Amino acid sequence: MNYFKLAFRLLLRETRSGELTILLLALIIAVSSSTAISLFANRLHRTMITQAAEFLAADLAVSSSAALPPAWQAKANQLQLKQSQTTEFSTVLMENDEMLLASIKVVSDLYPLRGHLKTTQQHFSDEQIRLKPPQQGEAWIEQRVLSSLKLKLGDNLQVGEKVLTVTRLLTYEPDKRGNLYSLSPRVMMNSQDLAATHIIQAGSHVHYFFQFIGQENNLASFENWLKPQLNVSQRLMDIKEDRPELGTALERAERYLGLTSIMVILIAGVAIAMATRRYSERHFNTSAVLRCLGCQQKQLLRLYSYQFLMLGFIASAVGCLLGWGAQEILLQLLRDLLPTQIAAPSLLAVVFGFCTGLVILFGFAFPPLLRLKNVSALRVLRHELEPVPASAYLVYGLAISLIGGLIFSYTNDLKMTVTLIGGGALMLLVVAVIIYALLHPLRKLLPHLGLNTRFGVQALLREPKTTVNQILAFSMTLVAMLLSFNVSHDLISDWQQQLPENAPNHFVLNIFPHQKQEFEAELKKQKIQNTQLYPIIRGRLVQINNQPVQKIVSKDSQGERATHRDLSLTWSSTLPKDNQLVAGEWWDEKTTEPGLVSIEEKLAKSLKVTLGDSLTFTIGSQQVNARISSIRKVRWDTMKPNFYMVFSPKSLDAYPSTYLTSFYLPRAEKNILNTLVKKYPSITVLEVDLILEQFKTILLQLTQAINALLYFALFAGFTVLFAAVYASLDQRIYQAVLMRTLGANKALLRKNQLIEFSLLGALSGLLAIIIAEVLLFALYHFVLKIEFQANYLLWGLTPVIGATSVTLAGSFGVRKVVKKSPMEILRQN
Amino acid sequence: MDEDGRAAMRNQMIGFVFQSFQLLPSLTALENVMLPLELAGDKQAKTAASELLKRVGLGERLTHTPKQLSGGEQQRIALARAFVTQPDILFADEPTGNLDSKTGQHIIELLFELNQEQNTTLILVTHDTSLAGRCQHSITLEAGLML
Repeated sequence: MNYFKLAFRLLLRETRSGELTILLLALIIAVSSSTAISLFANRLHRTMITQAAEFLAADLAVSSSAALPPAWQAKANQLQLKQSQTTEFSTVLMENDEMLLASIKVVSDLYPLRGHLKTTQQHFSDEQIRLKPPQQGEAWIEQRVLSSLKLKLGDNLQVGEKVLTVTRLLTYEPDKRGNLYSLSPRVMMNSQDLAATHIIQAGSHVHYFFQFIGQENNLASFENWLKPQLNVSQRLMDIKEDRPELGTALERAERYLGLTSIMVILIAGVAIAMATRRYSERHFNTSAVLRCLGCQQKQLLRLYSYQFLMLGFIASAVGCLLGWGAQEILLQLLRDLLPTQIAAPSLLAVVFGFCTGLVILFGFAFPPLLRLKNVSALRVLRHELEPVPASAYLVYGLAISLIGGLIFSYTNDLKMTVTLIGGGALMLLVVAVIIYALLHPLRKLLPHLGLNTRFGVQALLREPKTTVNQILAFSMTLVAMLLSFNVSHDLISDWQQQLPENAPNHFVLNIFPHQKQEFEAELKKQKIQNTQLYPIIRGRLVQINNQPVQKIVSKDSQGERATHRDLSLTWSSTLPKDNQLVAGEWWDEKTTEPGLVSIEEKLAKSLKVTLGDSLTFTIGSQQVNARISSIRKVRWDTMKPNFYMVFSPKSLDAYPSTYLTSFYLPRAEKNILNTLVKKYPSITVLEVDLILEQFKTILLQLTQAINALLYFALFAGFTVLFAAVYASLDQRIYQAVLMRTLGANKALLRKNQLIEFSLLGALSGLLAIIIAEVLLFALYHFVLKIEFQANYLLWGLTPVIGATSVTLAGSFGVRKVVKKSPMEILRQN
Repeated sequence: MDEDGRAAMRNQMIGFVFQSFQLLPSLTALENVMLPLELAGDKQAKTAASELLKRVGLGERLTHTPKQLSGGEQQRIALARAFVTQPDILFADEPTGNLDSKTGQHIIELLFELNQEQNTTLILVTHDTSLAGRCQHSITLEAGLML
């Protein structure tokens, strides 16, 4: 026979009778929230990537040491990608008897494809946004070039053999890269003038950058086509690697979005498990009758499975629609904060939400459903015969592996998955034991309690297993909400710490040793505070343990790149702020000998060096040796001066050095820079305030988005908590009605319920905060690398929130018991 | 014979009437009676079930759910459900145990009428000696022993 049709008919009949309402609601919440979050996260991610793309001046950029291969251009044309190209090289400029090593950037007409340039007509005056680069014959230069070469706007500037006219002062270029304090001053010119300079010859040291924008799928196929063709000197530029300060923020936000999705799914999963359990218990009799009517076990399972499958499809479809609507509303609410151009919703995210619905339904509903298959036909005569519960291994194993799979698919992060799942499973086990242990002394207290309290407590002790299951379910929901709340809160405050109100937004380089004291005094006079001057010596790493570095480092690694250029070397008696020692010891200023060096962790790994290894640098024409005495972790995302190599004091005394400092200067006080430049003409001022402001805007947008998601997760959590309490009410309603028939009045029933629900909620809250804090510690310590701090307010608040919400939901659910006649309710149940 | 084998046999050969009716609460009267036929894959389930419900006097109550019906009406649905597959054997376990005597009497009449119409073997368990007296054979059990 056609079981599918029969299952469909049964499903319609069940839906009509209201048996499936709670299950349907739980599923719809699960699907709509996971769809909403995955859609929202996906759109936000793509929007942010587009915005962050401004930092590359394109959606996709490739750096190369050779000119653009014609095949690439053809392929990009074929895929209708817009292209621009920049060429960077250093050259010495000579004007007015002055010489200057400048960094020339030759740009094509479409540059920048993303973002814009900013220029002024006068130093430190108002900037203008320029969407187009310099025209043929023009040169835009930085103030440093102007002052060093004693030029003024409108003067000629000779680059190679080509004479250009200086028309504007360049103040901002979106894709300015590299070591902030090693940059030579910039001259920007049009690509049509390049050939006439005759600077680029075979063997010239030139960097080419090719930028592309276009439709997302075309860009993706271009990237896939390009990747296998890249040689060692060509590299796809990546926001995470090329702009670490922004990359880290985006990466963390993505992880948070993933985490929130999982938490919402977990919350909904708990509700589905509870609702299916209720469904299954209410269908023991039905199954027994069906068995009597000749339904075989496998047919029974098939009937229920088909029904649930159909239910999953219907709920997933409705959930997807609702989720779509919810994320649109969310984006509308954030309209003012988000970039004007928001990426279109992705159909793939909807499909993902749809599949998520089916998968969680299967994972959480299957074990309770299996019980229905095992109902004995004899139950029609002997009501007490209940099928054996599904094995705990199956129930928890399936749920855990499912959630694990989901976490991994969202985060693509094995470490985070293992931390959450392993920690979660262990905690569940520990918590179950703790609840049993907590219930035991309550039993001993019973004889000493008054009538009201006794009934309330007894209700919890009657079936300890059920109570434990319910507490676990409520705790898990609260844990998920706590995790979302805490992570968002701490992530945001970590960002605020990373970029405090007065984060340094100007760098000054090339301060000579004899100017150092005077310069510091001048800064003090100008009321510029909290500045530290770092000595800088340019040197190149040439040998590791007396072996040439080229033999040791692998091609195209960070180590190789670091050995192909001069590094900024410094020395310090103290460990720089925001640096963290991961191996070895920091030197004691008084006792230590010179010749020690502390190396940055990632570079050490790439160079395959460790404590005790010897490094040889060339500084000018001399060589200097140092032994690695410590390895440091450096936060590159703080926009503060950071160094790969820090030497012990006196190690570099024999070599000429300059000093570098950074400080905060509000926009209104920019004139101070003029004073400094006039007084110390040799210094170089780098203004990063615009980049910082843009970075801050992105962080603010991410913060708002994360807050919105958090509210969404909390809303889903409370809804599900209500649904879960509802799913556990059948037995309570029945018992309350029986008590009423025995003469219990409304007040007594209300007090009983109040005590039972608030105890249940408070216990769940208490356990939730314990689990959440342990998980948070693990998550922060091992995955997010944020400092963990216990939140004592939540320790007090969570049990109260648990008690209040469970009591509210419970009392609302059983209200009919105290209002309607017992007869009416008994007939309905 | 295993559980599933027994289930198949029940579907084809055996009908049941219980003391506590055992109707599915979420289904209407008609759907309850249709169910065994649907399980057997009978395409005429609806016609057969509604005819039998009319036969037991519930033609006007087809769309009512069990909780909207009285005990006597529920048991009549149970009778219709038991006879709708035209079983060879029908087991009735205290079919009047939950009913008042007048309603009980009506149910018994109906049970015997349907039994005769369908030529079914009726095996009835009861404490009511007058009811037992109407059967062709009777066996008395006391504390599990045949007297």
